[in-house]
Amino acid sequence: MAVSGGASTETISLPITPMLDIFSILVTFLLMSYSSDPISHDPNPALELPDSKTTVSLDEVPAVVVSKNEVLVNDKKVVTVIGGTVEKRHTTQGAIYPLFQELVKLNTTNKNYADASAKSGGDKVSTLTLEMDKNHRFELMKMIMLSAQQAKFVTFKLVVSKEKS
Amino acid sequence: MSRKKNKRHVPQDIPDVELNIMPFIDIFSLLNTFLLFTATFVSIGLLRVQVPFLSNATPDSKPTRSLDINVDVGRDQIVLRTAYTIAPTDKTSNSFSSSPDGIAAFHRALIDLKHRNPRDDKVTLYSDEDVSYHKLVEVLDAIKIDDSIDTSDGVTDNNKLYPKVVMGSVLL
Repeated sequence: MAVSGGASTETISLPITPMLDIFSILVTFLLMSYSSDPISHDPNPALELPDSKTTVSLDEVPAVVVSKNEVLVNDKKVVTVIGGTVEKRHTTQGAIYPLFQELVKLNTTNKNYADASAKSGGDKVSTLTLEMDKNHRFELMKMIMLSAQQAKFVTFKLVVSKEKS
Repeated sequence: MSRKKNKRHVPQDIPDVELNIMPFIDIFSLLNTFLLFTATFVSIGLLRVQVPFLSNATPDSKPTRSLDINVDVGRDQIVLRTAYTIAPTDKTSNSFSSSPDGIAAFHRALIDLKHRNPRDDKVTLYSDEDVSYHKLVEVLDAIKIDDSIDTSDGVTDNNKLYPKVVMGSVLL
């Protein structure tokens, strides 16, 4: 206010030391919590991951995501989940048929890629990364695993939230 | 004495010197913005499991005596069953509650089993359909994770107690 009067030549200096303190603390915190995981992946917002003590880090983006209400394969909705299970009309021999069809396509794509890039690809072809809501029952997990098993996926990487030690 | 000396050496005509901290603030702002945008506040991990599959590999002509470890997970209890593949089979069965204390006791029993049979690394897990996924992950942690490994020392894989877990219930 004094400056706006025009007559005064008094200089006002803004104290920036507190701001520098905050910045230093924030930078330190962010640098300490900076993740050096090979893959940065944000879990689907419609699900909650279970906590685990594992130290093994995520190495590929999950192919199958089972949120509270739907099953997605590479972000494409395959089937709706109602009351923690799938409608009977979508199931055959305990497996989810639309999911099985999508996984067969995925496995073929993986295999073609492995052949084209002349890699052994054995692990990639038979491994499926699964991200699932922690409140689902094993009943649904079994259906998904059976669908994947019939599409020739035999190893599963279950995505979990690492517990802070 | 020293004060007097210092006073004597203070120069009279030094101009006011101010450190220019603007570049410093600029760097901090940019670093903050970059770190806030790239920060991931949920650290994601993996647990590897297998499902049974048919193989046309020829079976071993001379089977060795190994320990078969089976875990049955129910809503309220966990049963640990063991038996050797060749007689004497020495079958055992122990029940644990599915509370945190029960899971800790189950983990200790597995550690004890590993000490007695260090060569065995596979567990077959059977689960009831009404068991929740997070409960199953707790049991998988108890089976796979070796608590004695110091994870603060840059260890990237602590899944070393029983690393191979086969989901026995996933069968057509």
